[in-house]
Amino acid sequence: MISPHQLHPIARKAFWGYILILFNFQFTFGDFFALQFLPNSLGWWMLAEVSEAGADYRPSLGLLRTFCLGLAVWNLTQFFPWMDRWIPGAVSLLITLVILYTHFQFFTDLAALADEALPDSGRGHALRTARIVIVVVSLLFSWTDLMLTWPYLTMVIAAVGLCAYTAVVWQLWRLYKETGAPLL
Amino acid sequence: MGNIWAFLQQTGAAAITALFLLVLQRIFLRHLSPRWQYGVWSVLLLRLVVPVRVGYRSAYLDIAPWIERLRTWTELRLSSRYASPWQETLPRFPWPELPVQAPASVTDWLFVLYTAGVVLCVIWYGLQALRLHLRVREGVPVAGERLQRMKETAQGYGLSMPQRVVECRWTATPFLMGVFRPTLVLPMEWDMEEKVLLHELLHLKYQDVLAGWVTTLFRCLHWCNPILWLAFDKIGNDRECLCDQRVLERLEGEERRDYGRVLLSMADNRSIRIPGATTMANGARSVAARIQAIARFKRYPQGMTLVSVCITLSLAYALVAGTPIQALVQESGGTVSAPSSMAGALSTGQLNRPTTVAGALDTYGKGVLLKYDDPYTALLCAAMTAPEENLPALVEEWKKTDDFQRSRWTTGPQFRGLVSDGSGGYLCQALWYRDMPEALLGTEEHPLPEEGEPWPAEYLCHTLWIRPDGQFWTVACLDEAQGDLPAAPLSMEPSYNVFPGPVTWVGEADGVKLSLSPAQLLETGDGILGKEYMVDWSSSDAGGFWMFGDSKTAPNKEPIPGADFCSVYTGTYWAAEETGGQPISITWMATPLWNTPDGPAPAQPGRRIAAGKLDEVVTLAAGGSQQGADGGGGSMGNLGSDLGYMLGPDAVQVTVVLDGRTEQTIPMTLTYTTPDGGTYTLPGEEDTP
Repeated sequence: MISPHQLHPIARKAFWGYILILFNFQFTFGDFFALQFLPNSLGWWMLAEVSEAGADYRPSLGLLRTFCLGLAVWNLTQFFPWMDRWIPGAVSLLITLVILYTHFQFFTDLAALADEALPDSGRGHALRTARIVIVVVSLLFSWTDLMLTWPYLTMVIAAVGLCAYTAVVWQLWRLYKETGAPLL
Repeated sequence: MGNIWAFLQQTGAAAITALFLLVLQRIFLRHLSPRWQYGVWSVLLLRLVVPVRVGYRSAYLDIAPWIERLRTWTELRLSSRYASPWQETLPRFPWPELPVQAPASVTDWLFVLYTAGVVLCVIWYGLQALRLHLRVREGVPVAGERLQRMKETAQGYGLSMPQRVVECRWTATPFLMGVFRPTLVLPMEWDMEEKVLLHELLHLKYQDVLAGWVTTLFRCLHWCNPILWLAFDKIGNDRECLCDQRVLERLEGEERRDYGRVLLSMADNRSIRIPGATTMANGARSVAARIQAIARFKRYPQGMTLVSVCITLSLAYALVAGTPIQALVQESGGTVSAPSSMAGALSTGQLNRPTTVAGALDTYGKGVLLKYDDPYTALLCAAMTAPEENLPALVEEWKKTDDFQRSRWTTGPQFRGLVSDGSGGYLCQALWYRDMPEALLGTEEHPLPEEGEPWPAEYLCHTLWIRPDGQFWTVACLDEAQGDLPAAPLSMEPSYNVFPGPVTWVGEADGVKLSLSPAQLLETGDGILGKEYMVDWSSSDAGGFWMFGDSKTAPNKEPIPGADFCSVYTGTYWAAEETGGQPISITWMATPLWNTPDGPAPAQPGRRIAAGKLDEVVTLAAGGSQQGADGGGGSMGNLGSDLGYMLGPDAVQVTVVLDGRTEQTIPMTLTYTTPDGGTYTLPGEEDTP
């Protein structure tokens, strides 16, 4: 059984991890280098730490550590846009699927921990809703066909995605704040 | 699948998909449920059913280009009846189409061998199933108390009973068979084990016998593919694992351990590998894997279906549906590169045919221009645009080595007089230029240009017929002509190339013959290539810059199959000839007309730019003639894909006033014309209209 006090550092790292993963600001130097102001690699690294910290309470969360570390290393390619051309489609597909699953399982476990630490708060339910949103939006983003065929639909998906990501981060922020409340 | 190459496409794509799924299963072994582990094979099933590159789409891990290259390379050396080096060989159906002609080559015989293998496999499995059916028919029906106990067990778990339950002396383990009349077969005097019964009843509930038959069907279709046989074995094992998971979900605590023990006891039993039969004992190695799966058993969280479906959808999209090839080409800059081999260029061309009229012209034009500078790109362009029946002759032409200096054209392509042919296709002239050699100048006909005068140019003109072929466009050359011009019209100046376009309207009235021809100038893709080779261009201010202001990037020499037009300049060629033997003054006005649902009509403002109204006043001596080309403005840049904007008129209305007399409208007749004033006939039309 995890307490709010124990969940607080996990929630803090999850919040910052997802900020880094879901939002991107970069300054590109041609095709050679892209300076990431919110590097995804760091985000996945933080989620790997969350996985390690949460493994005692949720063993399935511990199983995600390998995936998170792998994704942290993989996302270093973001700094070198020219590498995109050399990445086989099969590897990209594999990475997309691993990301999809990791998001899902991470939110599932976080929601379960929230249910334990903050019963009756509805936080677990909200995180499970956020899980559905992030998985569905990630799936839509992986359908490049839509992007190439209907550019306007891409704009809509991008707008919906931005709203969805903001909502997801908001839920993590609420978890972070609620677990940090002084114990009475 | 009408030949061995189509089979290789289908079976190769399926094998790659199977390998990818096996890797994926390994990665998610401890993470995703047995339901997903089994369900993900639906992607392989889809891959086996959906023909490769269906709908002109390319999936991830697409091996079609390699197999097509191998096919072209091989078939160029053979005289096969079932396959051709001149046409792409993608499967139309996931099953073999029985050959109707006798085989004539090694690849034909291989296809016959494959088809015979399929038939033999079907017969073999059919006989196996029949033999099993006959043996089971002799079994002793279970009745009385034992049957009642079974019914109670089934009822307890909310499952239905099979139509027949029989005991057979020859079987060591229970199994289920039959799709339409399911039969549970038990060993004689079998001590009924509830968990084993539950396992078989769950097979019945989830139609696993039918699933087994589907796998068997694909085993027959891909009998010579060991990777797929491995995958089909894995599918069978995953089906058993899923059944175990379903049993465990219905059991509690110690019962689950008992189930593991029962399964372990079956590890020594021989597995029954007969299609249409499921059994709990499926070999020692498989049982070991299932015991490990049981050790990992857990109830998966709510929502696992969502992520499983999402992952499966992603896989189906990437590995089966794929992305439109046109979109992929656009994404990679819109160009197609030629491999440095004849087979590679031919097969790549056949897989990347033009999807727009401008793309077909761009490809054809670059093919002619690059014949000597980049022969493989030239061959690629020919393979992309030529109708299939023209390809062998084009390849022979490509192999010839002409006089390089006299055959090479340095600059182009430029297009002129694009008009509709009235039956869904288009007619157009393609032009290539080069400077007239200095050695030919200095004569009375071609004096050496003075300072500031343009340098004379030679041109090559192909009259082209662009025809739709499904969703693609083919280009056929109807006429070839060469000539010279005062200068190459690279700055889109129509008054330099004063000769008829691909169609000319001719009319005559009171001793005057008038001819009018659409002569708008067009460029495709990134514009004309090789301008820097022309003296006028390289010595002008424009010579240091490319057309669109980018001084560093030359136009792309690779063909752009989905190109749009990038510039259009209005132009009309006209000629007037006195035929009555008297000097005459002519004032005439020509109005271009385009076909509309209500008949030919002038263009709406802003909708057509290729031709405008023409007003001319001409005085002709007896037997004299005059000609010219008028133009007035144009557009360049991103002109979009609206072909109507660039298209020349479908008809022309001409009114004339001769020697100041009454205005009259003269009927105009369409002729197909060449630059030298000759005519040609459209294939299939006996006479010029």
